[in-house]
Amino acid sequence: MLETRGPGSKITQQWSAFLRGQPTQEPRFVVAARQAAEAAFSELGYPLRRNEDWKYTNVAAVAQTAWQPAPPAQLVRQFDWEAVRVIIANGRVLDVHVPPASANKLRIMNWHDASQKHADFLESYWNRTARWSQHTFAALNTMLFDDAVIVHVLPNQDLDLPVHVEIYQQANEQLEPQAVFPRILFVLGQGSRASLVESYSGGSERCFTCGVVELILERGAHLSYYKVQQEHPNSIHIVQAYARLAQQAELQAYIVSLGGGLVRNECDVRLEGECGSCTLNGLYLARGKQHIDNHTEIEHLAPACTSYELYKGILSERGHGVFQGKIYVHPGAQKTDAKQTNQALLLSDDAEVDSKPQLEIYADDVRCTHGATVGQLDEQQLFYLQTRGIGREQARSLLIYAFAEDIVSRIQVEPVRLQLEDLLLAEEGLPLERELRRLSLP
Amino acid sequence: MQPMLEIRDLHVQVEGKEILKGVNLVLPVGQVHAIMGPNGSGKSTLAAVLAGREDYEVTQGEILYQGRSLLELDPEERAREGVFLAFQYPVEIPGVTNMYFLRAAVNAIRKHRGLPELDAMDFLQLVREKLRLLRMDESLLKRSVNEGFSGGEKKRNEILQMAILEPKLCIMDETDSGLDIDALRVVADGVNSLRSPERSILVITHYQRLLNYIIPDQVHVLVDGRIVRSGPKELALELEAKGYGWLEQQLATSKL
Repeated sequence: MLETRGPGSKITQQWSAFLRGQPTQEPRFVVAARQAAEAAFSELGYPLRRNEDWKYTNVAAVAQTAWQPAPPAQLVRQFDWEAVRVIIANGRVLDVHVPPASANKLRIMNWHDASQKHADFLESYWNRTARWSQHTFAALNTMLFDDAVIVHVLPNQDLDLPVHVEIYQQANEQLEPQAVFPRILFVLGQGSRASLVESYSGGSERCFTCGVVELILERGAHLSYYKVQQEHPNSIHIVQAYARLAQQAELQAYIVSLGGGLVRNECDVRLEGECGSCTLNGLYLARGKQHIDNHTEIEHLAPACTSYELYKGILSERGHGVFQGKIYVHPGAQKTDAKQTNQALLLSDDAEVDSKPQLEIYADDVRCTHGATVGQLDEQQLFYLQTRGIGREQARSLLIYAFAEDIVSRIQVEPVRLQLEDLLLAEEGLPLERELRRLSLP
Repeated sequence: MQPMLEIRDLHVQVEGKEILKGVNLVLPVGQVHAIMGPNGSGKSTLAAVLAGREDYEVTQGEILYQGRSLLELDPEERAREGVFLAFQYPVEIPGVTNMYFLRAAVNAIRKHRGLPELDAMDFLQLVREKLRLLRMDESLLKRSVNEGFSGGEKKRNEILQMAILEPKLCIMDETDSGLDIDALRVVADGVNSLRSPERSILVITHYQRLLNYIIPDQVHVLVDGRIVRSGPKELALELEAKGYGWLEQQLATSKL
């Protein structure tokens, strides 16, 4: 067993196999960033549970494993709905498909093209929002990633088709522990609208996905961001998303976690310009021994911004959910309107949820509220369904589905919504809605 | 002929307090009976016990439905056997569409009756026909069960379910409460269209007004957990004119 827990120790040794395989001839600012990230990683060390931000999540499994780089993966096409599609397998961009209708609205690059041909663009946006100097795993990603996808939606464009980034892991044949470092930079130009779907799948009990996502919304931009994670139920998934919003920009995020054994979704949003707004909707299902940790930090830096968070968790068997939400209102961020809600449905005696809101407010004219509810199914609703002939077990399933559907129904990208609905219905052993959907109703 | 429903000496407690204190009632097949009573007389408790609410404790007596004890059955079994309660306060279920809910209910009941499940097209045809009957908009099917429905829409949704599920015994708990006169007419027309020689309906109400539209075969007056008077439909008018105080007073005098 490796002992690399404490900061300052030879923590980077654990990753030496990765350091050897890094891209060469990167622009100087990238080399500098990687070195700084390596120094930060050594300095920070793995977060211990006495670190307030990691109080409920133990990452010893990451620290004590001898991770190896993942071998090249095969291209597998899992989705066929129309989208601008990027496939990242075992950390490398394998395919980029841009339908002609979207071609003049955006640019998509892999890491090699971006760093060789668009270094100026990269230098302006890349690694500026990720908090690699404070977050161990963002530092680790910055130090080790070897490919990335960079999307730039040009100003004043309405991207009708969603951008779908498919990220999957294929385990190596020897089933050695393997780690991948997906990295996404999405820049949405002034006044543009777009949807980004990020789906994670594959992996095994010996796979670790350590990702960083940077979302830059320029003035008046509008982004719907969907993260759907369905990895192997024993994989480790730590992906940190960082968003930055300029004036009047709007972010609607949906963070859906169905898979993973040890999962940490970080979602940090900086509201930097007046009248920006963000909505974070989270949904997670934890059963077996799944541990799913959602950590959010919303920084209100400018006046008259709104932030709205609703996280819902369904926990059964020995599932463990964590919600930690920080709202930080800087001085001068007057007229801030922030609301945070965390709801969990506990379906077994062994399931557990830890919820910790944290409000830091340094402006006086603000409205900030938070609330958490943990409960079981509603008896009145169960009774109502039963009086219509629906058996108690099916009634329970229907209400569990309904609890999740509250989030899922808001998803605007139809193939994503329908896939999730079918999956949740199947999960609860309920009849699929497919044929009802085909009926034309007003 | 065996009655649809027979209640014998029914005593019910809620949280240790006796609410029904020996109710006796016979509802023959094909008839409509009304139960009237002041607030707190136990009307809604009776409705809830018939539908199978668990937190109501039956301490004495029995309820026979088509000659069979109802108390042994779970709420869903009662529904599948043909008992339907139209709720005074229909429950909202965000996240389940009315369409999905109705089909799940219909198919649960059909399965129990040994009928094949309805496919989407047949189901839609059935629902459309019933929607027209209740002058309801099809868009209600896509919305979550009762969520954001107006008072009138909720009550109509109850009658819609009743029309679709085709129960044998309908219990209508304060179906008129919160309805304006137009909505009341629509609901009453819906209920009247469901009257049949094979179906019995128990209308529970505080006011006589609903009984102008749904004419009962008999009226029972429930006061303080007991049926104190039964009579023809004219009894409802008498109650309307004299108020419940008249009967409560009579009751008190007779006890002396």
